[in-house]
Amino acid sequence: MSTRRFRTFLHENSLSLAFGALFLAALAAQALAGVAEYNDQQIADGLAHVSVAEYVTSSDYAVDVAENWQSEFLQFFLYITATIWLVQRGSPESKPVGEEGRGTDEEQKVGAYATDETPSAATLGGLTARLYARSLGLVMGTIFVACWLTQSIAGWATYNEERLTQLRDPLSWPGYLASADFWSRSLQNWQSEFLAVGAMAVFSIYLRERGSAESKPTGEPDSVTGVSS
Amino acid sequence: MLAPVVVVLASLGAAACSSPGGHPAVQVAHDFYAAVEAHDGTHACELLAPQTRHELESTAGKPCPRAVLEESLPHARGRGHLERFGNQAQVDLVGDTVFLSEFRDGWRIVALMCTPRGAQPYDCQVKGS
Repeated sequence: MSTRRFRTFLHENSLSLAFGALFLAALAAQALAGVAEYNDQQIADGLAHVSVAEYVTSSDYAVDVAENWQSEFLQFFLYITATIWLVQRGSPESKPVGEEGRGTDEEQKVGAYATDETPSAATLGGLTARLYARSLGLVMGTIFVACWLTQSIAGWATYNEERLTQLRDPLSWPGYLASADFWSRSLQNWQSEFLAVGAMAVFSIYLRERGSAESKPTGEPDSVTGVSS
Repeated sequence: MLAPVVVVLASLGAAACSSPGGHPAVQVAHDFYAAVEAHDGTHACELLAPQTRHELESTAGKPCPRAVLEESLPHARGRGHLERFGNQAQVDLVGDTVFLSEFRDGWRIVALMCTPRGAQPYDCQVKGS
């Protein structure tokens, strides 16, 4: 890849590349902060230190990562699917009022309305086309379930490690699923995601961020629903 | 995305289902009681966690090898039922429940002579502060 093509690649993918880099940096920093916190507790309990390598393969790190991942993917899964049917007048995050639902083939550019540029999966028909038409929500939902399952297992191990340190009997996995710890970890993340989505839907009616794809154009009236730029 | 789940499941499954008799934590519990029965207080103390050893010495006012042999330890035996999560383990023997933690030099006993108290922590006669 020539230097010019590489620069073009960086420019055209700057949003995903920037967030990918931020993600990796934050994940690494979380590991460093997490191992320091973990070892601080180990000192208090008179137990052995762990290395960074041991910590990042521990259930303690896994549950902290998974509980945040699951809530983020739940947020996007719900937002993607809820905005099929629910609307918010004036919000650029919403379809116009009255256009709720899956839309017609003409609006969706499928079936008889497919063009040469329509993705091949959308033109095959049958189950493939139906799955493709729901693939964004399906993938987000699947990742949410996988991360929540991971949280439940890693959280179970971490919680039981703590219980054994406290000289208490460990819980079974089903017992952990009914525990306050599991639901506290889940709900504390969910409530913040729901707040952020709701705030974005409402704030974006009245507020603007000039140049942002997530905002209406600055001069767009508050009453206009959806992005018209 | 499912790969991490499988790895976590496999590792935790291994933790929960590993052969208890062969696990080092169970071996340490057995070795401790074998050492006590053989009146080898020095070896028994080597199998205690540092804080537990220190607490035993402070309470008894004498060196650990003597203090541990003067404790009214039960005659614990049996294969032992192991519960292990991360660096912590519980071994249920016939006659005692022992709690252990993994240190750099292996599993060490943090509490013993423990009796259950329902939802409360076990009441352990010997434990770290």
